[in-house]
Amino acid sequence: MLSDIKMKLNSKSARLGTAVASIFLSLVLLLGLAGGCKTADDTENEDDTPVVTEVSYPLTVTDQLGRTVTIQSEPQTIVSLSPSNTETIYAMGLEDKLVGVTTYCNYPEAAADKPKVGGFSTVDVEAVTAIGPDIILASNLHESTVIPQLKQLGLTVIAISPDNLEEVISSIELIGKCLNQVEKANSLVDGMQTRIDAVTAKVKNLSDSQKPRVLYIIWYEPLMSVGSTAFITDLITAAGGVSITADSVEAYPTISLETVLGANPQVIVVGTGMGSGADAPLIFMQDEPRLAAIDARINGNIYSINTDLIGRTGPRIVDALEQLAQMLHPEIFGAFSG
Amino acid sequence: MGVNTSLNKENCPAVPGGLHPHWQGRLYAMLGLLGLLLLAAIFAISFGSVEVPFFTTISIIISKIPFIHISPDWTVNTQIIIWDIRLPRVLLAGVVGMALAVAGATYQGLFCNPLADPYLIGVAQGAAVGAVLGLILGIGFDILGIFATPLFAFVGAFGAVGVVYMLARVGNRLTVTTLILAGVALGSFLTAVVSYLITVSGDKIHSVMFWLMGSFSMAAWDSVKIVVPIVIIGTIVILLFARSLNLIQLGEEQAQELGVDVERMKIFLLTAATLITAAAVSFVGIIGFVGIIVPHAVRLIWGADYRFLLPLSALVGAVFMIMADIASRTLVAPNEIPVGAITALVGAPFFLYLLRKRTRMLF
Repeated sequence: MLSDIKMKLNSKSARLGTAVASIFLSLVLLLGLAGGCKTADDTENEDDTPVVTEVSYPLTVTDQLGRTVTIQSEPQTIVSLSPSNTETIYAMGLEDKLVGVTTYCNYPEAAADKPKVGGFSTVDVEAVTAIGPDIILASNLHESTVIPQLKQLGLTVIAISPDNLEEVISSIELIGKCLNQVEKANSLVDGMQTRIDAVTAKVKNLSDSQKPRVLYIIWYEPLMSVGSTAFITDLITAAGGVSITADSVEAYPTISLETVLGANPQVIVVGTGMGSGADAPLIFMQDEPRLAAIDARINGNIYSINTDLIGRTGPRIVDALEQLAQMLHPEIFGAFSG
Repeated sequence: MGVNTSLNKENCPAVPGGLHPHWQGRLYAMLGLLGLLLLAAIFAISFGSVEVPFFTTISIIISKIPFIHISPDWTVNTQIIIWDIRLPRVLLAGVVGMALAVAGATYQGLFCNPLADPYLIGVAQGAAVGAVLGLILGIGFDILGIFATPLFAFVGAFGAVGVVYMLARVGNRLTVTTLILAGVALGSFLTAVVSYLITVSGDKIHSVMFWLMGSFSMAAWDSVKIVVPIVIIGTIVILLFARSLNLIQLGEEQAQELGVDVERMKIFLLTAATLITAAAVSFVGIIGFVGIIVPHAVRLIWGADYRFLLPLSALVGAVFMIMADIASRTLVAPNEIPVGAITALVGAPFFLYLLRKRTRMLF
């Protein structure tokens, strides 16, 4: 899987490299071709380490919203517009370059001391402009309003918007490339991939009957779960479960109690956050009398997971995957201890 | 009733229609609507995202009748789906539809204003501020559980109407125009408050929006047990004033001369209509159009005599809401569309159709 993505990325960069190089130096052209050659025999490259770790600027990349962005020189200052981007920067050890974060960036704790540029969806464009960072790491939430504004102000914005585990990996690789920190990104990604593989290897041969029916609960009033395009659905699949709402076309469908009873989930996972009333969905799922006869309630398989962990598509998503795996398959991964 | 149509139009031009001479037809209509209500309810109980055979559905309901014993050949979860999820939901939808339609008819009659709906004097906006505050702050959930939001909404609704009432009361008299103006002004203010609250609602925004659009998805016997008695008592009080509502269409002075204690009637009707609206809104959120469209549709078809208009509105409101709820939970099952979106999408065009068809009765 990973080598697939790398091959895609490498061949893409090779093509772009060729395009850029033809305008500039023939030496760069040779480099670009060299990269292309490497991808061709990537399958033979057992240790999976890309050879090209130095990035040349100006660098043109395609971000995760499909936008083509050219970065003029190696970015020295970064503003992160999402908690997951902030976590990725810290995990790569690049926090010294981070000059602006959101008010929701609470991990690691030191991130809270960085200058704030607004909330998640409500970005203070003036504050960002005042800082004038070399690169801004945004998310799909900013696609329609914030990104065009920042772009018009001449700022460089990269949108990070992974829809599944594979794209989390490629998003970190993309960030590494943009920042000319390919090696740091690779070592972070390799560590994550090893842990992901450790989980998926143990669940991939399970038969359908061994995969529990899982209900993930976002909120209870109304009941909200995760649909086919939601990141969490992919995570449940990777952890060896089947989300009972996986067929829903909406990313975050509202469902009825009836649907829950009809599907009779064996495991219920409730996302809980911080603040008052955060436990309310968990309490509802544990106490609602009409759910008393479903398998998850009878067997006591109702768990809560920190939404900061499972909701952020950064490096800690692997922690969420491992926790989910324990909840769904205690017989393989050991009981979940919370 | 010796009320004549031309007088009616002169003094209360805003409310269209005259008294229908053939009361028998409207009695048959009531019986027919009762039958339709029963059919709609049975239909609603048999439909859902989970397939339950019709015979099983009926058996489960019959088995709940005292002294009748049917040995169950269905699972516990099937019984819960029929008896504890669908039945309370259908009952709640019916009762809320009835409450909104009756309250709408009452406000229209009391204010002599065809634009009046149950939310005119701030009930919905007050409820919205209460509910949204409760949802955002997340307080009371530990103790009150699913009753936290309804309680906040109810307090908000009555708080808002209380303020409007104080503002509109001059001495011992309650001026209807002042009441409407105060209600609209306070309503706009509260709507602005809700808009602000939405911007700071963060990850609660979905719950907030869902509540604002209205839904029966949280219906349970517990909420039915609270809403049904309130709506029934309120509706009975309103029905007792049906004749007075007819007379007030002549104008307040005329009604007074004909022996109606107008101020007393206003207090009773306002309290009752506000109570049933607040009870409905608190538990299911803001469902629009029913309160304004149903009474007008009834007026257009069966005339404006409140002795028939009120019960007919109650029945049509109940049937309409049950049907709208069926659509809301089956159109894109297992997802749910907010029922308020359905009532607006279906109700508004149907009303416009009636309006076009019966133009002569209106003007």
